[in-house]
Amino acid sequence: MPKKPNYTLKAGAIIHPQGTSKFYSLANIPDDVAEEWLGKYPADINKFETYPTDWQSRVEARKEGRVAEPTVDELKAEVERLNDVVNEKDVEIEKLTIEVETAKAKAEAGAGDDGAAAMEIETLKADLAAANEELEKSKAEAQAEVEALNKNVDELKAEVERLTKELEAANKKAAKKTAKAEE
Amino acid sequence: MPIDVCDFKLAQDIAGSCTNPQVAGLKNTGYLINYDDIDWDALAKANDNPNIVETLLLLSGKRAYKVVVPGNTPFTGTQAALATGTYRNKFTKTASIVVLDSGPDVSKNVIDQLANGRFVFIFENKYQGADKKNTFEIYGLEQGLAATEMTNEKYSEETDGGWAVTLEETGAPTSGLFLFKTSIATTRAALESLVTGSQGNS
Repeated sequence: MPKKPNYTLKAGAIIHPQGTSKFYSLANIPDDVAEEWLGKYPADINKFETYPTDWQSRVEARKEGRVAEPTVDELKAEVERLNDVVNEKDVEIEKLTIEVETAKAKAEAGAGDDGAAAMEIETLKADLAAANEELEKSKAEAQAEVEALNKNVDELKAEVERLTKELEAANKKAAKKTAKAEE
Repeated sequence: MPIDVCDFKLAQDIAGSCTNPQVAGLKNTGYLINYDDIDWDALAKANDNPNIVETLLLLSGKRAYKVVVPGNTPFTGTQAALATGTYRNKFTKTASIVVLDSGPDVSKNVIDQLANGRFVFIFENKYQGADKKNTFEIYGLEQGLAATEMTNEKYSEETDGGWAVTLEETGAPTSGLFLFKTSIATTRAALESLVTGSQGNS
């Protein structure tokens, strides 16, 4: 709830502080503007429709840079305003509590479906485990095959090496025989 | 105590402006105020010219009313004229308003009230003058405007069956009173606040 302004101007009255582009009329004049103006032009109080009863001491306090003490009426009005704010918040809290309770109730009503979902999850987990097992088996088989092939390659390499040596020996023997025949 | 003897002598040259010549006519929006709604104690005029009203306030909870007349020549017939008197000549000021409506609300809230009340009328001159002080002129501030003629002619081409209203202020000492405070922007803001009116909290 907006606070009631301390100062309101009469219809037709305009406060235009010098050196600014601001105009104040009716109820849109802040306290500091009103009191600074009245500090310079106290006779202009007749332009105000409402003002605090202690406006003169407020004006003096503002001139001296002091903050004027709030009056009992102002404090009461502020307490009333804060009570209104608290009441509004209470209503809001109550509304949110109802919403939370409703959401909880809905969640509980929907809990029966969790069993089917859990079963499905378990099935999927078992499928995943089987698939992983299959994959591991395939990996092992592939590994064994690779090893066997590698072994074959090694054997073939050894055979090639042996045959190469035999060929070299045969070539040497043939060369010796040829040389002897030429003698 | 010395007596105040009025000394009526010219105090200014008489010539029109070549760069800012006089223009005839009024703008389409005027403002009517009930005479008794004015805060007379707060009325203030310019120190250097009593024909300029700087402060025109209303009593608590009161407001001014806009009068809008469409067309190229609104408020036709609005004028001020000399009225010779025995000891002093004064002015008769006439405000002509057309009310383009004649329903029950208008009859009750406007016509019946205009017929018997006293009013102040503020209108906007097309000619603002060099310093814009000519802009808003006031009739009825000294003696009040009262109705002298009100006609609702059903086949009137001018009013289309609405009301033609003539309000007159007689015996006004000044030829012209103008509303102006500091600047034209401030003056317009003041007029707007007159139309809005206060909330009547005092």
